[in-house]
Amino acid sequence: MDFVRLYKKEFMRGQRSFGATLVITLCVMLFFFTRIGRWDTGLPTLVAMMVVFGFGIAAFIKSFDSLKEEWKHDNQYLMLSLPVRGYSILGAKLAYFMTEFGSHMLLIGAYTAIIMLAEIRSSNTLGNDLYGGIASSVWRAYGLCVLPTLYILTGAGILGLFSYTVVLTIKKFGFWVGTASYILPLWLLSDLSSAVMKVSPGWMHIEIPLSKVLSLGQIESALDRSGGVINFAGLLNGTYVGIDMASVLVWTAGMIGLFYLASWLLENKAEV
Amino acid sequence: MGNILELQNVKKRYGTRWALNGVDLTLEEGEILGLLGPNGSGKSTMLKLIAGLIRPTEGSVSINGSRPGPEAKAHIAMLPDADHIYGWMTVKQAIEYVSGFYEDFDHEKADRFIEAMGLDTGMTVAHMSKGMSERLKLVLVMARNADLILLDEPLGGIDPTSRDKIISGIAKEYRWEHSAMIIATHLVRDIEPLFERVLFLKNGQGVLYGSADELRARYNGSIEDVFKEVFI
Repeated sequence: MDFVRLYKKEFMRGQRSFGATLVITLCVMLFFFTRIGRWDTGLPTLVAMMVVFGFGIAAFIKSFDSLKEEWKHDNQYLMLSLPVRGYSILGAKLAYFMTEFGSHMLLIGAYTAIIMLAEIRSSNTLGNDLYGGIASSVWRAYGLCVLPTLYILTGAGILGLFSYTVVLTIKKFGFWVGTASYILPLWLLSDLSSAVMKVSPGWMHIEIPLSKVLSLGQIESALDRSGGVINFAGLLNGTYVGIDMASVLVWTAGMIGLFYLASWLLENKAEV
Repeated sequence: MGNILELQNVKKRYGTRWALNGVDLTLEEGEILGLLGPNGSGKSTMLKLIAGLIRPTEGSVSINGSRPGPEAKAHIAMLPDADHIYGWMTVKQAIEYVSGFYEDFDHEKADRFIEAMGLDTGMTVAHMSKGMSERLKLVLVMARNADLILLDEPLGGIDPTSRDKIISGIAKEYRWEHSAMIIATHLVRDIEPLFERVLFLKNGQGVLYGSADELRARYNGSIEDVFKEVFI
């Protein structure tokens, strides 16, 4: 219940800017949508993709801010006097961070896909079958990116919270301590996961040909019917979407460890 | 009556400066302690240490037999010197938020206090005057039936009318036989009738401690007179 109360507070605090950002991004994307056919081909999609990238940067910066805000406005006196565990406080902050940036990233990603497909459609050179195949591939690619995006966002959120609790603990050279405590775990986990990948058993490497993931067969058949021939399977031969479960386990364990370390620091070392 | 609070040789250092330098204190149920001293004497540091908002460099703090932590915090109500309530909250939201974390929060008491303090529950904290904000902080603390109540400069920056409201509010709603209270202040005159015991702090050390009545008799004056004698 503590977590729910803390999350509700985070949501109430951020709801105005969250709602406003949702409306603004929708308006911006609608504007890009109206530029299809007026701007150079591909430009609306490119600019929309840059917005997704911009939100990625914003998420990285914001990951430090959720705790920093408490200290900025003296609210740390209230937060630290509550009879709750450190993981409840940080868990609520992480959950709200995920709500806010997860929603923005996934929605803007979807808007971008819609703009891209609308641009393709506007060329008027594709048959319905071919367009249907392309649309199916675009949405499959989008679906494929959802989990990794959320996973990376969670990692960025945990690293930001960890980094700020280390700053609170050491209390000196804030910028350098914050930077080091952000980069060092990344570097260590990256090295460790590379080492583990080298020795992990074969069944932990999961690979699927890209042509299957994107369902390019539908595009091939459409092209066949219209007289064009593209052998995607041949073209993308050797291109796989792969994941090493051992590496994922290392990163997941590392992030859980960092989260609990940050919670312990907040509960036992952080001061007002 | 049992001990609610025990401090043993508590020290706190910031950099090279000792904000608190070897303080011992025991507080029993029902006691109200006046923690007196000029600015920078270590009063706020001591309250923060007891509330678990900072950690001692040396020594130990014990609340109902356990060290400051989430469990002990459930029994402590603290009014800090800082404006710690979220500015975007209304009075009603602040009460709903804080009350959810404490089993000892008494909503009827909070309603009585809000009325006595003349607060509008729909008002946003960021739009409040200093006096109103202090009164809201007091409502959040005094509406709880906490074992230990810590008030850090409850009258700081408050006009005389609001001071009277705050002091009478404290006297009316304090659970005289079940709680202990520490009031840290350098504005002694208005609030000294509440004190049972008094601890004078100077440069982080306790320089005078005793029963308020005994000190008044010994120095033949009010606690404010004793304060002036000790610090001027």
